[in-house]
Amino acid sequence: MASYAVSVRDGRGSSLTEKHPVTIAICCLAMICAAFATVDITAYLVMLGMLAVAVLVGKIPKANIVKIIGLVIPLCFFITLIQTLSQGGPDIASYMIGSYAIHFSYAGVVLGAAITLRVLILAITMTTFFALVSPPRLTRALYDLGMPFKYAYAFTLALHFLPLIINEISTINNAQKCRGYDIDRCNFIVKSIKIIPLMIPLIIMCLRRASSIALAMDLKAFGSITNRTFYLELKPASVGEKLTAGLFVTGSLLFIIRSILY
Amino acid sequence: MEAIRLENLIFKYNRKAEPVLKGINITVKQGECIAILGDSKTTLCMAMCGVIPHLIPGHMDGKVYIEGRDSATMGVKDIAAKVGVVLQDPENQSFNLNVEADVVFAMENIGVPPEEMENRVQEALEIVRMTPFRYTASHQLSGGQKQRVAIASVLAMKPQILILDEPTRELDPMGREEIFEVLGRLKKSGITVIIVENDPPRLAKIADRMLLIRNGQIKYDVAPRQFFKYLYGDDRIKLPQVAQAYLDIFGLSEQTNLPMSVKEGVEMYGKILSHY
Repeated sequence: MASYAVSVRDGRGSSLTEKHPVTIAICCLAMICAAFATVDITAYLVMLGMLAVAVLVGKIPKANIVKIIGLVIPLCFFITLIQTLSQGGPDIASYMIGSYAIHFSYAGVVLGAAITLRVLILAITMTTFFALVSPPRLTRALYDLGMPFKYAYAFTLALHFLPLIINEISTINNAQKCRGYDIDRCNFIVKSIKIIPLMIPLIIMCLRRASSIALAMDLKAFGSITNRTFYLELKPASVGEKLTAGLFVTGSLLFIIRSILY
Repeated sequence: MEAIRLENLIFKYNRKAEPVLKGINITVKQGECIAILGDSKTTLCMAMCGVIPHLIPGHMDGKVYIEGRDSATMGVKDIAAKVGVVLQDPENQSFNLNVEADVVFAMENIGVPPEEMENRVQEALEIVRMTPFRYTASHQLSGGQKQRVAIASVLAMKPQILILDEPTRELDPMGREEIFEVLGRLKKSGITVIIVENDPPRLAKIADRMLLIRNGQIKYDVAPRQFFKYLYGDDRIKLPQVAQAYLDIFGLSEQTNLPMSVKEGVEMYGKILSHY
C-alpha cells in the first residue's frame, strides 16, 4: 500500500534510499560540519572514501557526481592558485615577470589542496543527500518532526517551480531574440545591463503563475484541515540507522573540539 | 435533484466596476452535463465552485447553492470535496513530482484514509486511461496527459460535480481529443459536468444543455440542436460542419431537425436523396 520514492518503484532504488530521511540528513550535516572543522588532507581523504562508499551503495548515478565535480573544479583551481600565491613560507617555485617576483609557496599548495577537497566534499555530500532523499519523503519527514505541512511542502513545490521558471526565461529570451534583442552575444557587463528588460516580463509571468498555482492548490483544499492524511508511509528509523547517525555526530563533534583546542 | 443553483447572481470585480455577471439564474440537475460559452464564463465557473466569494475578491450579490447549501456559508474544504475543478493550464495543476503523487495530493488534503486512497487512485487513473503512467514523472507527460492527470486528481476526491474551465485551451488537437473522450466517459458515469469551452461542435456531442452568455446575461439555455438553430448566422459561434452544411443547403425553418453528427447527417441526406 505504502508508496516510497519513485526511484524505488522503478528499480533504481537502493538500501540507502529507503533509510529515514532525517538519519541521512543528520549524517550529511555531520559530514559537512566535520569538513568545515578541519584542514587535514588525510581526514578529507577518509571523508571522500566514505562518500564513495555511499555513492556506490546508494547506486547514485556516477554521471551526477562527475557533473558536480566538473562544476566545482574551476572554483577549486582558482582557490588553490590564490592560496599558492598569497601564502608565505618556503617556495616550490618562483618566477620573475619583469621586475616582479611571483612565488608559489608550499604551504599555499597544501592549503589550496585542502580547501579543494573541502569544496568537493561539500558538493558531493549535497548531491548524495538529494539523490538519496526524494522531496516527498523529505516533506513527510519534516512534517513528522513538527514542521507545519505548508512549509514542509514548500520545498517540493519549489523544486517543481524551478523548471517552470527556467522555461519561462527561455520563452521570454526567444521572444526578444525574434525582435532583435539578443543578449547571448554580449560581454558580461553588457549582458547584465541588457538582462534588466527581460526581468520585468519574467517577474510578471512568475507572479501570474504563482497565483494560478495557488488557486489550483486552494481548489484541492490545500491547507484546509490540520489532520491531513498521507499516502506515503515512512518506515521509522531502525536502531542501526540511529547508531550510524550517532557515530557521524560523534565524529563531527570530535573534529570540532579538535579544531577549537588546537 | 439539483446539483447547483444560481439565484440572481451579480458579480463585479470592484464596487465601481461594471458587473461581469448580471442576474444569472441557472439550475443544474444531478447527472446533467452543461456547456457554457460566451463572455465571463470563467467568472461564472469560479462562482459555481465557491472560489467567488471565498478566494477572489469582488462584490457578489445573489446566491449560489451547491447541493442545496449556500456556498457563502461553506468552507473551501467542504466545497472542494463536493465540487472538483479542472483549470485551463495543466502545468499549473501539477504540483508534485510524479503522477501518483499528484493524484493523491487532493485526497490527502481532505483527509481521506490512506487505506482508501489506493482504490481511488486506481479507479481515477483507469477512468482517464493513465494507469500505465502511474509512476511517470510529471514533467515527462504531454499536455493532454497532464490535463488527464489533473482530471484524475479531481475525480479521486469523488466529487459529485465536476467543473472544467477550458480544459483543452492549451492543448494540441490530439490532447483535445483525449480530454473529450474522457469527458464522454465521465458523462456516462453519471457525474454532473459543467464545462466551459470554445469548441461548440465538440461540446454538442456531450452536453445536455448549452448556455450562451452575452453581456453578463444568459442569452440561450437550450439543448444543443436548438442552440445551433438559434445561432445560425452568428459568426462568433462555430456550428458542427454537418449542421452548418445542412442549414446552408436547406435553410432554417421551425421544422428543421438539425443533424448533429456525421451519422445523423448521412441518414438525413439519405432520406432526402431517396425522394429523387
